[in-house]
Amino acid sequence: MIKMIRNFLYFLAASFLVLGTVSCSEKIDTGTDISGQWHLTDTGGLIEDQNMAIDVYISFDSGNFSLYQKVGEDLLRYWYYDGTYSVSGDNVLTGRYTDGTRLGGARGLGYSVSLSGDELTLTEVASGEVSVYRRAEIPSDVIDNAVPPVRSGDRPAPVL
Amino acid sequence: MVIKILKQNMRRYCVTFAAVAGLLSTALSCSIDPLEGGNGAGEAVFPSAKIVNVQDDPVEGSLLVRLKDLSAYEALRQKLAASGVTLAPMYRGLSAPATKVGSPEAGLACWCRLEFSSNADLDSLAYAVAAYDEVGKVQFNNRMKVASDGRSYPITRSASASVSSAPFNDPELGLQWHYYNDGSTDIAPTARRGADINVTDAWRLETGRPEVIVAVCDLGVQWNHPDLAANMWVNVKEKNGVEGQTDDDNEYVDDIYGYNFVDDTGEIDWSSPGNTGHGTHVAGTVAAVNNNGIGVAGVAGGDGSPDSGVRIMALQIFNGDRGASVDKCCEAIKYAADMGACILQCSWGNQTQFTGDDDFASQNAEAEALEYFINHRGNCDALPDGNIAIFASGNDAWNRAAYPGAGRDCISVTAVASDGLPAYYTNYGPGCNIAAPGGEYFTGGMIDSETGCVLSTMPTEPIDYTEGGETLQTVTDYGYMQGTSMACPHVSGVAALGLSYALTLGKTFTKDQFVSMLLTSVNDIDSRLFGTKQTLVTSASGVQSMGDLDLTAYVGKMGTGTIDAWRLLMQIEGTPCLMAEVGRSQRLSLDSIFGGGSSGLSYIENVTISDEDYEALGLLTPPVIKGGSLLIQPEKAGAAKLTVTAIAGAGTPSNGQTIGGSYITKEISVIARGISNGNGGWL
Repeated sequence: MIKMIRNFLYFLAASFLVLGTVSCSEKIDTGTDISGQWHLTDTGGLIEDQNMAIDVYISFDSGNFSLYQKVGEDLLRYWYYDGTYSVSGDNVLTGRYTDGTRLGGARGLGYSVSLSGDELTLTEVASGEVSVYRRAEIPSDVIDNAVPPVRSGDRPAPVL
Repeated sequence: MVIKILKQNMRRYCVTFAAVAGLLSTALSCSIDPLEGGNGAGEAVFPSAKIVNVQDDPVEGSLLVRLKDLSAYEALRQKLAASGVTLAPMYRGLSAPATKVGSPEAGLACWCRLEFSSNADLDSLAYAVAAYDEVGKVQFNNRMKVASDGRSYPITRSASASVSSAPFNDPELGLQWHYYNDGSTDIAPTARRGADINVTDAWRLETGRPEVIVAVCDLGVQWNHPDLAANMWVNVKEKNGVEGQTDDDNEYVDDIYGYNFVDDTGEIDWSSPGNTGHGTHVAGTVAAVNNNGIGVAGVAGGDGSPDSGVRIMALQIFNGDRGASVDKCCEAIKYAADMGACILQCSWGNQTQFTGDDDFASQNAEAEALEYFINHRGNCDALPDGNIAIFASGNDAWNRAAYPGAGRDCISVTAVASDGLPAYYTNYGPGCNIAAPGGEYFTGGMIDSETGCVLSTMPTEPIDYTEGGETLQTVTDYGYMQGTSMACPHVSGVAALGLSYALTLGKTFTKDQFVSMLLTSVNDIDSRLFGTKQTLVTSASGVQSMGDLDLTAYVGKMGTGTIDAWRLLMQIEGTPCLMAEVGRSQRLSLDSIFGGGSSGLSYIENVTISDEDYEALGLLTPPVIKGGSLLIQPEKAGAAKLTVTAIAGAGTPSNGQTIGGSYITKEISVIARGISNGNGGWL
């Protein structure tokens, strides 16, 4: 009798474990796949209306992202950042840069993800700011000439 | 009535002239102060206010005089000649009568040198000369002091350390921690990784261009040193000209690699007894030839190809313990300007206790020479409106910089050791603008450890010199030295590298813009200035021993931070935007604009912003600088430009009466978005 009760408890525990694992993995894996390379094309008028020198490329790949941005006056080369990301089942992009900074600002609520063909729309959850990216290969010279935004000696030497 | 007045004036003039001439004779013949002589001459005749400095190791038989105006030369010459005093232009080929009023040289042409018996009493003579109406100022022709103890140490171990990211094959580069510091205890027990000028990555972008000429105003530079020769400036007309005569109409004979102002010859002398190799060492830090398979590397020494590397102009103002008088220094400074140098590298200063920038700038010959250099266009198209003068802050552990470097238009360099902390000897405080590695023999409590000093080129033959009555010899070929003298050429080298990169990119900057970029291309030092460090300390009674140096005394006083070559090249490439978040008040770090030490800088609190830009960000209150950050609250997404002013070199700028810092003004772009990250990433 005791043996039967023990087996039953084992069965219950195993069942909960399996169910739990299944539900967890579903939550991780059901987000939109945004893998690929993207080029920022619209920021709700910030670029176009004010003629700002803004150019941003992003690569998403298996939970890791690389960001190449040129945001400033007469900048010659792109600065690169990298880190990790995930897209939740309710299509919210969150993650961290390698320096620990959260994606999506201090509150780190992330971006709502919408993918339509070759167009990726990221809407910042807290502010509602919309950024539109189009699928585009990152030019090799952008990658080759990119530098880290910090003291170069603190990071692996950029390819120059 | 008119005739009567004229007669009275004539009589007064004759009496005055007779009195002054009499005093001159008295001063020239003995050491009696004529003011004490009871000869009836009063203060109105002897205006001591015209004497701008006090004696401090002056050249005997020499005084400097600034004419009241250019037309006063001949009258003064005749009056002085009657007393046996010779009046001559201080600058070669620049006589007052032949100089046009209002020309750039007019101010310099007013300066003359008086020559007379070396037995004459200088104070008495200065007072006597000052009495002449034709005289505007009188200056004792003091000697400057080298900002180094002059000791050199040989290399005692091989360069086992590798500089993985350095592209050059110079075998001793691994020992030059000041370029790449891996924190190895082989350097010093407390050596710190990253306490360097961060140049090895910068070399991937730029190694130096020959259009950039750095005038090394110092002891003689060994121009034929195997690790310097290819990067020496060459006056082609003189090299290809006739020996013994000037071939380029500058009145200097055979000035092929520069000029020896001490001995008035084109032959640079680095090897006479008494020399220490200081000039050769300084030159090597600026531009020892890189990638040539021998010796050391220089900050802007090229990549080994013939058309790379900045050029070193050798201006010798010291020869052993001779020289470096004010007149020689001034002449060298003007020569540098006229012959195309765009950076003046000066590891020396004077001991005069000027009370403030106005005191310095308005009164003496070297200030006027520097003004001429700084406002003169050099050979570098990247800097079309002037040049840059860089000085060592001094090695006396004073809490202020030595002049001339302390002047508001010069850059004054303090020294850090291999631990990235102040070296025990460095001057600091008002007038100091930026820090660089100067090395230290005692870092971490070591006794005379050469590896913590700066490694560079040395004359190839040993030179005898004396120290404390003992005869010593310099090391040969390569050696270690310490001092703000060694820190200074790091900044000169980085500036030269930056100008080279600007040329490569086809960019131009005003000298004020470039100096602002240079002084903000730094890493923070203040955040590490707490507690103590072990090194040589000096007690109140003047006794030196190993001990604990209080670091808190240096907070905010080492300049904007430690120079970083990489940051300068990045600034030359462009200026990143600051990113702010709409709808909240926030403090934005100014590190990307003002360098790693931005939060410790002093700023002018109010920020300049146009009405249009104010509206673009929907600002409700003006942005201000608080706690070293930009405090701003944009209410709508957009972009704007604003201007921020910081003070480099002291908590307050000089008001003229004090020694103070230099203004650094930067135009900043701010983008306001619905989101912002502290690290500046877009996502």
